[in-house]
Amino acid sequence: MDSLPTEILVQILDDAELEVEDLAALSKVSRRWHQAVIPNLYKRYTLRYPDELHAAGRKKLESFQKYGSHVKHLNLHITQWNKRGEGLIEGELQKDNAEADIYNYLDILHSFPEVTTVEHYDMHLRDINWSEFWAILNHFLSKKRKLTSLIIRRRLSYSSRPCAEGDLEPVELHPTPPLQQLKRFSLRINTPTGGSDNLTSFPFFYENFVRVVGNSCKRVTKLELFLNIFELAKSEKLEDLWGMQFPLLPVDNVKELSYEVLPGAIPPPNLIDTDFSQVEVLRGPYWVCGRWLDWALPAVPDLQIFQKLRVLEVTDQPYASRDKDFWNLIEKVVRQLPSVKFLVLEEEELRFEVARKPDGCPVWVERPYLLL
Amino acid sequence: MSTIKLLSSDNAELAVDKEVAERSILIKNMLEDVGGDMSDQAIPIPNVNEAVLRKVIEWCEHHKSDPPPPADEDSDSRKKSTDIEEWDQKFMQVDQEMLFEIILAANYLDIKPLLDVGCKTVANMIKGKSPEEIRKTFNIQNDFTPEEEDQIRRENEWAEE
Repeated sequence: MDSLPTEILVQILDDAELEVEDLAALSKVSRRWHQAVIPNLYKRYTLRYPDELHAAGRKKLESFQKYGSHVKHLNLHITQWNKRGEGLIEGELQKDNAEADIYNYLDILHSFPEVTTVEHYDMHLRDINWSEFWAILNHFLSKKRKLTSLIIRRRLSYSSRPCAEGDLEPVELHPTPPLQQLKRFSLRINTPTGGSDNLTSFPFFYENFVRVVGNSCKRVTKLELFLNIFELAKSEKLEDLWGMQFPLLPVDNVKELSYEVLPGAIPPPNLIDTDFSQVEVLRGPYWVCGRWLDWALPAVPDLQIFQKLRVLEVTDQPYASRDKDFWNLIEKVVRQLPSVKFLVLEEEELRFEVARKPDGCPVWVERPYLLL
Repeated sequence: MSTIKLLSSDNAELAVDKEVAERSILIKNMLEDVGGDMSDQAIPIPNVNEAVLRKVIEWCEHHKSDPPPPADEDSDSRKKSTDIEEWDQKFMQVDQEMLFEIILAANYLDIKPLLDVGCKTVANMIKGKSPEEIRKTFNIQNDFTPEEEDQIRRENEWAEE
């Protein structure tokens, strides 16, 4: 075994069949093996905050902080958030708030400068206010310069406060030049209830979001925006939103777009600055397609902006394949998208290859799998 | 089908089909560099002895029709030991010294699929063993001080719960 160079030893120890217990055992074999296995043993870290600040979790956190430069994949679940840091953003923390959770949380994140993928979840937490949320997002985009994938999920509780104008002072933000390796950015925000407060807050939300993200997502090719913030809002109020001018999120070249922004008729060109003719995969719910075809509504985009769309994935509608109205609508949509070759119904796990009649009318050919 | 000659580190000359030899990216590139004509001259393989070279050629012959491995494999996709096919499992049933020689030869000759099979074979030998069993299996000296052992045990406690 001594004859094998370290690079090969590292490859051996990178085998997926070796469980974390195996890797821990390997680290005790000899100094050479310890050195070879540490990058794998500490490659992935799941932090449940603040649970892992206590007892056994604390020891684990300290170990991962010691070997923080080896951590590539961070899975972050905030389960509780006690002390508030109102109006605070990283770098602007006040002394009397030094023990705020936002301070502790960002301090922990500083230990992992080399991460390439991050999944951050805060679910049903009333106490993470918007300025703290923006601080967390801005930290990832400004400090984790090797990110290839960033997934942010925020599910608000019933009593969460909607976004407001004063949530963010631009001067507090860290600069976010393009992240050269960031290919996937996913933001999923859900509110359990809707109403006029949420509706009024959307412009503040989106303006702050674009400020916080800056230019960091310019190289992203896979963009996922799920902003379900306004359920049950009245349609006349939604129409006000459709006519609004929003700051645009700059992305050079989106290839895969997953898009679900309530109210659904806010079309992607109103929120994203990119060349939509380069989008090859579009993923969204049935009603998005419906909205985009309803020419009676203002600000409806021309579907033909997706000139090169190859794959259309419908993410909702569990019984779509048995619904005649669904097929009528999808036929109208696909007629306007001459490059579409595949239709995927995600809920039913159905896949269709799209053939065309001479008049461009689609013919659906079900396939067990698709070679996209 | 054209044949080329390979010269092992212990000066044995082995004839091998060009197509088989080109499973080695090193040899393939060398042949391309000289315009493909090495019919009258043996290619020296200075790092690999005859016995190992014969084993490597045996593997290349069996896998000569395999599709080439993906060029840009995701660096994060960890290999699965269970992926070793039956013929390869039998092929790798050799003593440890030969196993490591094959791995080194695959690395030198740039035969990635053979290197992967070799590494997976060793990983299978490791899985589920204690540090002491691993040391015994591979004849490795424990060079930790008691203090270092204690520190590592504490650091890795989370992985053993």
